[in-house]
Amino acid sequence: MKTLSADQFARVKALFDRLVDLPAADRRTVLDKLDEAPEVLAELHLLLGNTLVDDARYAGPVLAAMLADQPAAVSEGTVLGAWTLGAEIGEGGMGKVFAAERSDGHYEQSAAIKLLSGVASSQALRYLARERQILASLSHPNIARIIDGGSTPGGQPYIVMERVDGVPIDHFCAQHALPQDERLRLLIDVCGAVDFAHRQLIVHCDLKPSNILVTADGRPMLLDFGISRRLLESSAEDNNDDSATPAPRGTALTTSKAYTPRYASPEQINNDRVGTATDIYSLGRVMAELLGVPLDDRERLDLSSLPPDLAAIIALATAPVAGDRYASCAALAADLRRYLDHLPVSARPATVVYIGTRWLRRHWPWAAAGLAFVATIALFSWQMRAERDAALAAEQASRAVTGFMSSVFQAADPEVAGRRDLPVSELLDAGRDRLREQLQNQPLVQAEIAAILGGVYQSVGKRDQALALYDQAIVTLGAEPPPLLLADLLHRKAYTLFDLEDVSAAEPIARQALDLRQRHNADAAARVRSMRVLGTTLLYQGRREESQPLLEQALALAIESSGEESTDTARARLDLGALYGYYDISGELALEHGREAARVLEQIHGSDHPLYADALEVQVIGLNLIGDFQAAIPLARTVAEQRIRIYGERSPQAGHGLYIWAEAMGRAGHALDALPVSARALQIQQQLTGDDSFSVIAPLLQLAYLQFRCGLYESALASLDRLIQIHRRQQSAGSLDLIEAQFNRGRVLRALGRLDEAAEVTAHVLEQHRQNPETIPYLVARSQLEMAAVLRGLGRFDETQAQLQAIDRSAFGRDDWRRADLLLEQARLAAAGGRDQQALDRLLAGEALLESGLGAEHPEVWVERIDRAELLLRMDRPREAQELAAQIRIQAAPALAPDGLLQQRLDALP
Amino acid sequence: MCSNGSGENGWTYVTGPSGQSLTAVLQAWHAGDGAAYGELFERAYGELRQIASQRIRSMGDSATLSPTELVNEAVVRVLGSELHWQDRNHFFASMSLCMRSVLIDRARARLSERRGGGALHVTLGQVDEGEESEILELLALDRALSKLEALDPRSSAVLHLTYFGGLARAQIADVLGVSTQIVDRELRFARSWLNTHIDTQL
Repeated sequence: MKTLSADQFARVKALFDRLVDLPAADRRTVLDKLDEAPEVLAELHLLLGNTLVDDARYAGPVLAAMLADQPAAVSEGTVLGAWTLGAEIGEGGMGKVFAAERSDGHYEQSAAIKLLSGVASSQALRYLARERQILASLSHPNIARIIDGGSTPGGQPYIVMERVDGVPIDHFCAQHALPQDERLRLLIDVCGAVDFAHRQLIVHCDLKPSNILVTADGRPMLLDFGISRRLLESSAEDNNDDSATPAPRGTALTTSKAYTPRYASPEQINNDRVGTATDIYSLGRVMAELLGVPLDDRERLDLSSLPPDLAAIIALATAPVAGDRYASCAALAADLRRYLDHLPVSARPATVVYIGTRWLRRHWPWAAAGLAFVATIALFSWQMRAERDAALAAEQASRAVTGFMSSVFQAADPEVAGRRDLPVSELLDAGRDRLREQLQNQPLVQAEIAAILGGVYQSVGKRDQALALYDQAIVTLGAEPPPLLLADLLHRKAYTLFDLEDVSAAEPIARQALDLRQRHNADAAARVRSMRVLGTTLLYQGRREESQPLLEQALALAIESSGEESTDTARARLDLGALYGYYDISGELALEHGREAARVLEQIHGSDHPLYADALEVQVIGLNLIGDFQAAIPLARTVAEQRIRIYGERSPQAGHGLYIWAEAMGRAGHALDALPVSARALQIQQQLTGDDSFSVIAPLLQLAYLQFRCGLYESALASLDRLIQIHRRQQSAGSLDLIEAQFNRGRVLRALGRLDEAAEVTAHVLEQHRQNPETIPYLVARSQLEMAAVLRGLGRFDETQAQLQAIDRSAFGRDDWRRADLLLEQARLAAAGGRDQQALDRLLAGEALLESGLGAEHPEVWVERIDRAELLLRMDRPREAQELAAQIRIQAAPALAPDGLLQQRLDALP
Repeated sequence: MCSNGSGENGWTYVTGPSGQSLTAVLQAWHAGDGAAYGELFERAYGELRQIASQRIRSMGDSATLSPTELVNEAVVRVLGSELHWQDRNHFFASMSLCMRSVLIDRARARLSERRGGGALHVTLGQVDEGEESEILELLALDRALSKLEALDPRSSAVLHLTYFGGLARAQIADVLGVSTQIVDRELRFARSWLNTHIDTQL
């Protein structure tokens, strides 16, 4: 065919475009009228007749050629860089392992080369290359060193590592039939190695027996550190935050699941953020395997065969939520050592309890009169969530910062770069200095990295350094900072201050961060986090009125941005539900939020999830406020059982779960059933924080109350004496909680008939109330009522009458039934003065009020009727007395200890 | 590694709308990061092959493969989703140039080995009848594209990006800096031209 000229070609193309869409007939009409060169027309005819789309014909050969172009497989004898492959010595989930010798003629060295199966992304490979320097610095006697790495001509990444002659730890234990203690000692060494790596910000993420070899001389060696992680993760993300929401997983380049399901943590399986806690989980699973713990058909551990302490250790290491596990491998190792030394293992450090109780101490007033117990728990579980969130955030930060840190390593400073065992704190400081020097002209980058570095400082507990960095970054940003970056820094700063318990300093900064984020349309998740931090800061200052609308707004925004069916929304509901419940605002609302959160959480995480138990707890508080104690009991029991199962018996979570359960039973009047549960909660708290710690106060007070209710006055007195001692040691003299304890002591003394002592104690209580500006009218009224009762007992009826008349009726608040005690006391005074009929009327009126508040079935209502039975007997109405006594014996039974004084009074009746 | 630019393979520059060669545009795009680019190419190409062979294994037939699907999956795996979509398109356009040169080189080698008795290249293995016809188709496609390029660079570029680059029309429009309507028009013409002028005889 003749080749067309450029002009002719252009004509052909223009005409083709004009004609191709026309119907065939029209096409011919136009073609016939064309005055074109014959070559042009001929070409045009050909093209118009060949418009068939047949992409498969052309793309097919391209694809086929690509497929034919597969690289040759790597095998024995293949040369990779400076290494020649020897025999294949293993094959695992991650790929084949070959023996290798150095072949570049420089010096002889044998190694093992692991070819990583699956295709790693280029990004992951570059990351790996950068990481190699850090991994190479991971010099520890129990860690196989990474020597080199690269990718094969076919693109398969490989790692060259120190060759270890050993057998997998499970085989080693089996071969040598090692006793349990020896196995634990091996694991302690393993924990030490993993902890060492964690302190360099390197995680393993695929710990399992086949990655833990034991050499002939019994030394465990860890293989493959940092490999699976680096391959699985994309570059660092800077969406770290120190508050509630787990970051979205936008850019993770997960090409294969390079973990082993049996040892993999829930966060790995769910493709969530992984971190040091992931390794702790896997270690827990390995430990369970080495100790012969059976698995059920869903591969869950059945720890029942282990000694309780050991079971608790494994349960804590393998807690489903990362933030609930041991804080570090070192902590896990320490617990194992304590176990071997027959010392009590401490499941977790007590910082959470400490913060909760510190809060309680500051904000006692609203929590008075028995509600105090519950407050501790509310703060407890809230704080737990916060800690978990913080742990997640810290993990993200450490990963984000690794990239920058590796550049620190590679920095020109030979003194720094040459050192292999640079501890993380020095690393951080080096990073901070480098930040200052090198990025002076890039304030934005500097600020961003400062934010991340600050997060790492925060996560390793160096909060002051974190604050300094944030401040420095804020200054760097200058007069016109990018608002969202500034907001991020302020938010972090506020959180760190909050963490330092400097809530009054945290508050304005949190407010500023929230304000910026709102004005500049930060994403909803960030705004929700800011609202929660500010709301919590306010709550910790006891400023409920300001906190409440913020937490309500946070919930509304969470619903709007994440929808009802999201964990974020459920968390916001829990915060708000707890606030409503613990601040006695609305039991109905607390119950509603608790129910809704439970529904969503169960759907998303299942009913085994710790957050689900938190949601039940909020419901319990709501039910208690509403007065539906009977409904609260089974829920509270579930909370207790769940927390014991998840965290082990000897854990703060289990202790508080039991405490809630005892509380629900106590409120329902089942004091007798509640007693052993309460005692168990107290025992756990004592083991965790010591006999005389502040955290013991709440369960001890609960126990004393229950003992008193059952009529076990001597025991109650002993408990209260101990309680008062602890208060004194905690230097809370003059505080309302100490006054309350003394009030209770007076009440018990009166019940024991030690009226002079009771009078002295109660007079002292009243005097202290008078001097305390923070006192609450209800507490004063109760003390006056108690004083009246003591005076009546002493036969000083006029003073009793005066005391009763001095009581401010409005102090009893909105609940009518609280005035029952006043009526009952008036009745007893009438009886003591011989005005039997008046006494009987008042007793009946008081009982009716009590019944309206607690319900006709409530055992305490029936306990109060013992007075009436005694009165009837004295009024010569033995038949009625007998009938009433018979009813009381049945209805009050759940509240009466068989050897208690109340039971004795009942026994004296016909 | 392949070099971007004029090939010894019979096809030269693919030209963008402004008359600037596509190669030059793309070179400018990854200027200053040559080493990283080279590695990226290797990775992406490996990725592409990997996905292709996985699909073939699971579906058993290369005809069900869509190049567009393949390329986009590979590019997300290699570059991640954080890279701007425009950069991704440019990267893959760029990569397709390299890939074409590699594939054509190797196709020629296999063919000459078969025809010349292949005494020296036993490692390349046997070439069967089906494969030979596919190789011929591939070489014919390459020749036709080169020929079209001399007449109409943009049309040829659209075709190249479709078959070797596996790009969808919107991506091609992005790389070439033209509207999708223009891409459609060019593609329609170029397909007809290819149907008319492809010649599988060497």
